[in-house]
Amino acid sequence: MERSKKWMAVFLVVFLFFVLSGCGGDNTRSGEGQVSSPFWEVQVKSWETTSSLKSTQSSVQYNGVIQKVEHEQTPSEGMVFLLLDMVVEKKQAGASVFSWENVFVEDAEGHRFSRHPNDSFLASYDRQRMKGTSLNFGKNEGYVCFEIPEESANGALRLVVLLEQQEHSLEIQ
Amino acid sequence: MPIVSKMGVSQLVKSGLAVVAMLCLFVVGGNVPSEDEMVPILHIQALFQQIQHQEEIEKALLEEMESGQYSLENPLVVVNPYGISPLTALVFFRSSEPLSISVSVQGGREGQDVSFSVGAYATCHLVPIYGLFPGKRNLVTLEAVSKEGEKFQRELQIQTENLPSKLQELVLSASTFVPSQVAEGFNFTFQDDPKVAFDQDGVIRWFLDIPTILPALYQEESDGHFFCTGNYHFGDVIIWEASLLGRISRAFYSPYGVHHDLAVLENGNFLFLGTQGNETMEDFLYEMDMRSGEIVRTLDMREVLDPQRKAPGWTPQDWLHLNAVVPVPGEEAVLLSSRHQSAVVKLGYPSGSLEWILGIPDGWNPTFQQTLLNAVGSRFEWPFTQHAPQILPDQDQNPQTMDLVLFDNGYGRFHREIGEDEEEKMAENPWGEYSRMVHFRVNEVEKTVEQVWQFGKERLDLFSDSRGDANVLKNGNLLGAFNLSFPPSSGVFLEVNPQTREIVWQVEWGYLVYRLERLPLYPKEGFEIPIGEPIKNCIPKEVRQKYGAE
Repeated sequence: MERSKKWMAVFLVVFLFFVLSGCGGDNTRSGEGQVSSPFWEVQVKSWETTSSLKSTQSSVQYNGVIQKVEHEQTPSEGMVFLLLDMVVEKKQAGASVFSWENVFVEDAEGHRFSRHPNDSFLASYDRQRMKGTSLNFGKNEGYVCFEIPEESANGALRLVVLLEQQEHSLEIQ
Repeated sequence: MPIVSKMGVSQLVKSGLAVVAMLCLFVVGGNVPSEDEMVPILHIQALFQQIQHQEEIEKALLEEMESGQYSLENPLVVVNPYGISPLTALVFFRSSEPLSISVSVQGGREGQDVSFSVGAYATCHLVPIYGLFPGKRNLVTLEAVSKEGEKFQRELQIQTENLPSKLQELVLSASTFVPSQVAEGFNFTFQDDPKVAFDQDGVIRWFLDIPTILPALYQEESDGHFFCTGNYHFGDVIIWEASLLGRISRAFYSPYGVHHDLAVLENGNFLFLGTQGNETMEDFLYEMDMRSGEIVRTLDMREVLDPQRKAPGWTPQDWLHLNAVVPVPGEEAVLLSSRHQSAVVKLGYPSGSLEWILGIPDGWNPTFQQTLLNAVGSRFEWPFTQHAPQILPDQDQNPQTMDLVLFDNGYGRFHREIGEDEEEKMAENPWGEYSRMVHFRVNEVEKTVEQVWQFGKERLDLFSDSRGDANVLKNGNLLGAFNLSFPPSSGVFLEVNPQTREIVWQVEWGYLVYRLERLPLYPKEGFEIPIGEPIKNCIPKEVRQKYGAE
């Protein structure tokens, strides 16, 4: 009896770990692709589209009690979230700046979508979020979120990045 | 604050391995951590990961700085350099001749710019930028002065991100603001989570984006660093020091938790309120040598006061509920505030000798009678379940007296014990309870206490059955933090002129309130940002191993 309790507890903790880790998504792909310039290397490690983000998180309250909070984030009607797990690395020191204003997702019709203006909610869904301000040094890793129409998500998508005034693109799907 | 907010996939994998390793250890040892026990474990791991992340950031930053291409005309500007302080930036450049740099962040209204002088002349410049507005292109002016007095100026536009949605709802409104009568500074809800600083208009201008808990200490007089605990109230706890930039400089470990407060002693050591064991809680003091991280002295309050004395909030386990420790200047003594004894005591420290008790005289064992202060004056009211005593400078030129201000919650003022049925009545505040900011004057020789001033008795709407703060500001006004009972999870911060009783500033707050401090964002003098220097890690190796950091 004691032994089975112990293993049930192990199972529970491992299960919760994976729940907290945010497994799931409507459409998830791994795959590496990258574009580069003399200063920057941009890599998409994986991507996923989803119609909602859900998670359960625990936080310590004032009195030491652990409180569980359910989170759910949904895109605007008719849209889905496109999450890209990216690496943006500066290859050479210098004044070049990587700006998110120069990053788009383009659908098969040529419509371009900018990064979500405030995807800070990603942190609540157990994804390390890439800073939303300009990048100018080092290796930066994390997720960024775009909101795109459902129909766009079903067709070809590519990431368009303007680096040193030159446009680069990367097939996502 | 979500505990895994800073953890990415790779970090999660590392954490996962650590969790699995820990599970194996516990399974072998026969103890599996409960789900609740996992929360502090993950908190501690998140902090260790931040320390490692900081090292990686600084290595890359140094490489970038070494490129040598950054000048006053074309500086390197890094917003949120360490990833946990989004409304700050770091500016780096070199100059061919020594320059003294000052910085100014344009404020929300005239006269509210945030300014700071780095001071010393140098050719290599690292300038911290604090007080940026969220979601805005901030105008920041750098002014450089050569030794010959020649001035150069560079205007920067620094774009910040929008506030996370959970912070957008914190400040509900700044309903009152009389600029000419309000004390300078930013409003730090430092001793709580989320830790934020907002300006007099209620705009958040700094926040910390990493899980922390209640207590924190900001060292205004030294180098603008703060200390806080990043995990849990009880048991293993990591105490860390950081600048407002989010650069962690020192880390310490204690097995006794930290609950509510910490203070700096005159010898430079820190005194913490904590818990030893499971039998009772929040009744234990420990002193840490902050050079070594060694705990050099402890004091168990069960040996000083009577754990059986009942007062509002008392339980056999949480009989004392210490919520403040305040060193007495120039003396080997501290003031301790006990919520569940409704008493402020003066204690010789480190001797542990009880000098006096400011609290309702009911229920004390006869051995304490000689230490109880006697109330004098017709306006006097005892404090109940109070918080945050502050010792004032001499007010009456009488060396026998000590003046102090505290937040008198008043919970239990009209009822001493609450049964289950009565808890429902509490929801309607049937006794007309009130919370106050109170100025008491203790005559330590005559063992008397008088009430000098109060604010709050006339404001039943401000009743706060728990938490709260009262501070005397530099302009003589009182700053209050009321953690409203009705409705719960809301608060009011206000500044009141004690002479006129006019409220000169008030902010409504959409969350729990613990304490509020009015502080400058920048320290008084310049300070160094030792990029590339490893943090002073006083955490024992076995603790680092326990949490997968070795």
